[in-house]
Amino acid sequence: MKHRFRVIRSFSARLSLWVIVTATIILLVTAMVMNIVVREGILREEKLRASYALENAEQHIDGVFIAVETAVKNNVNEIKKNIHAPHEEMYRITREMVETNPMIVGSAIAFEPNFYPDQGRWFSPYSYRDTSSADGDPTTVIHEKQLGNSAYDYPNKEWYQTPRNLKQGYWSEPYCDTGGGEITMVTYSYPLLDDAGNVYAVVTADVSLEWLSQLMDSLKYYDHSYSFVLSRNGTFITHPKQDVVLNETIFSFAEKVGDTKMAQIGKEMVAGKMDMEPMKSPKLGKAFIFYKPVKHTQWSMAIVCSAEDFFKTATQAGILVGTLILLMLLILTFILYKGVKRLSQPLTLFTQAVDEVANGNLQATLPEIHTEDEMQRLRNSFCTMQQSLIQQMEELKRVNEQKGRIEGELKVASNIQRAMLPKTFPPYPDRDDIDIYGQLTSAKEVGGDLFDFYIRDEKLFFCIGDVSGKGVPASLVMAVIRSLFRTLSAHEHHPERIITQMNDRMAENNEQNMFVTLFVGVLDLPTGKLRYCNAGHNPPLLLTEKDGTKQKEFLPCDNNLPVGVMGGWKFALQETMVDTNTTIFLYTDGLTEAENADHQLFGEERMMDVILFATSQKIIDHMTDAVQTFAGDAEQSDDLTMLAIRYSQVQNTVRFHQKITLNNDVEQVPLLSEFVDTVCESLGFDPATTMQLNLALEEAVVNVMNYAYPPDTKGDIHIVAEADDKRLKVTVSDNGMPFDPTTHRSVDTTLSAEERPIGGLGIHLITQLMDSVNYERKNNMNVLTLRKKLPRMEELKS
Amino acid sequence: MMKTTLKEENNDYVMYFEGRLDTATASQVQLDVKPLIDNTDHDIILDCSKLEYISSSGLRIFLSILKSTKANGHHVYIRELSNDLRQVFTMTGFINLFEFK
Repeated sequence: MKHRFRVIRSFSARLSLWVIVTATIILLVTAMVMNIVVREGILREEKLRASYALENAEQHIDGVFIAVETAVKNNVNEIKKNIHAPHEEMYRITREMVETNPMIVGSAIAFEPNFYPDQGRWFSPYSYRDTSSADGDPTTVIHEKQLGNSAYDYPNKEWYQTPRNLKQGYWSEPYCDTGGGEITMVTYSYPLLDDAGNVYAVVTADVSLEWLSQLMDSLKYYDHSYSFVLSRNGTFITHPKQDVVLNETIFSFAEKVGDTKMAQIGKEMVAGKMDMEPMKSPKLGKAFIFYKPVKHTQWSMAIVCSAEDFFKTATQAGILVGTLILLMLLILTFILYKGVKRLSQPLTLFTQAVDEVANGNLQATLPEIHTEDEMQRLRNSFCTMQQSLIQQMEELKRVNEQKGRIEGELKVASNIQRAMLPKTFPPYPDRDDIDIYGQLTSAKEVGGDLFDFYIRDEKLFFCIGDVSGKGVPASLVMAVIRSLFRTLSAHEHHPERIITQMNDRMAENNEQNMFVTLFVGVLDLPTGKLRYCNAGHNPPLLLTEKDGTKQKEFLPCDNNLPVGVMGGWKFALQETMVDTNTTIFLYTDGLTEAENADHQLFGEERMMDVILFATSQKIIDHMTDAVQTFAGDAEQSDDLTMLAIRYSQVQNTVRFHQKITLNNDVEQVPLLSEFVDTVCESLGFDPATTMQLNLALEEAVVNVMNYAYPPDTKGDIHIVAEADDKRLKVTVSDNGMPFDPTTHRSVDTTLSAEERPIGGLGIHLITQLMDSVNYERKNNMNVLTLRKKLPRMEELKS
Repeated sequence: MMKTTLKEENNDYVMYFEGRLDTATASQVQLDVKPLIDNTDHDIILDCSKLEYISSSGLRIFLSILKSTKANGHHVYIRELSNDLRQVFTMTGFINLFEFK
């Protein structure tokens, strides 16, 4: 099987096969048509030949019968003349008839009953040849006898009645003469009429049909042909099978062998038709029959020939032609296979060359073609392809190198970008009021999402944002936004101002029309007050647990423009109080718009369902799992960023409270110093820290003295020191002009002596010395809150 | 609360500070250091061995001394500064401006 498939798959074998099949079909059809034509011709020839032969036979038969008739008629006058002569004359006449006509074996003159009254009813002189005699001479032994007697009442016989009634000559049906050996005989009867036209006698001549059998035997052309003669009613007169002669009709025979076709032919023959027909002979099998009537006696002759004999030459010719065809086809196959293989030889070589090219050897040598045909064109095409491949490969190599370089750079960029994000979690291990976890998953090497947070002055500054677009352009904007957030929030704790300034700076040179959706929040950790501003970002989710009931709700957000869309846009501040045990869950649209393979979105509802009340990291890990399960094999299309901030307000009881009120006179500073020393001593601060607190408080109070109250006006400064378990909080308040010292806190400490301004050191020192500094304008008062962590108990002990 | 003593040692003016140099005492010290600011031909040494405390008002006085002396091409040295006060100098960047002995 395998071998056969291989052969069929070869081009030359297939082409050869097609040609051979076509040639075979054409030759076979031609041979068949020729065979049919030849057979038709043979049949026509044979029919002609048979009809000639039958014609000749008929003429022969006619000759015999006419001769007999003539002989009989010639004796009519002789009989009339001697009608009244002695009866011996009549015997003489019959005797002479037999003697002179060798064909006639017997002759009688049968008179009407009682024609001669002296002769009685029957007078019929009859002479006949004794063919059974031993010496065999047919002429010598002629017997005479009286035919009629009481046992043989001839006037009732057919041979007498029929011509008498018809008043004309009549040939009897053939019959078997049992008297003188089994001889087929036929009798011609001729009526003798008197002047009145009445029949007075019938002259007969018996004719042996031995010669007819011989005649019919001579019509045999082939070894396996035979012939026969039928009488008027279809009885076999001659037939090679002697037992059917005179015993059977063609009809009885046909019935016996069950051949309706033969009966049909019999009818045609008896009807005197002439034709040729195919038939089935019990002796020869498939055969043809030619038949023709013998008009004179209304018989019919037939020749039956074996079809095999007929078409012997045609069959022989057929075998010869078939052999020749087979031989020719074999030669054709051989030549075709070799020829086509030779023609397609270059194809094999091309295959080898192309395989070599496919295996990487682009310089593979192509086979040389010297014919200017399709093969030459194919070679040219291969050559062009080869050249083109070499060029493409080089181009590809170059592009790949470039791509590799870009990928390397992207990787570095990715690392830089990651470094911008908070990456140490938990970020404030020593704080128990805040639990933060954040995670950014980029869709590409670099992305446009960002989040950031840090604590300054007991305020948690945090932001989450999503730059329009993806990849490198977005990552550049992300870096700018992140650095703007840090820079601007260093001196500004109002989120709407941070965003407004960011927006103005970004909108200035925003030729690429990049924008950022950004949420900035500032959570005052001691109080739980959340100030926030949302510039077109997804509203954060608030998860609150209060008195055992859990609640999920979106933080209400104003509809602001994203950052960078329009310079000068006023972003509004929003405020809310965050209860203890509340988690703020911030995210980018990479979460809600995460797609699965069916392009369904993860959506806010699913997010609400999935979200847990747990630690920040658990919330985000669980959400990440949920998104990955949802997305399945679908590729992440957008950056995904989540930031969870869990806030627990520390409700420590105040265990220390002292206050002092000064007026705006620098001479009061020693009182402050005393107050601070007392407080520090009570709380267990070491001398160095006590000095630092002294310094910070003095600077804060002097600032108020110098700037809050105009010169030469009196005013009070209230200083309250409170402490819980963790921190000392000092509040400096006055009801002077609004003055926020924190906006002037930065001093360039690197300037040389000549360049250093004399002022501005105070607030700088306060910031450096205290853990947090907060300014608020409250109830028409400037309120500055300073915090310092208390020394730990173990530090105190040591 | 605050006492200053000016001495001339090895052709240098040495100013001894003793006590707390805060805003309350700064106005007096401002007057005390007038000779140093007016001085044109001596290097100055500020002896802080007994200085307990200095606020920004005090630092400002130090800066004004430095500016005027440097303008004359002379040096201002700080001597015997306690660690606690040195920290204040560090925070403010003053540690880069002065020379220490």
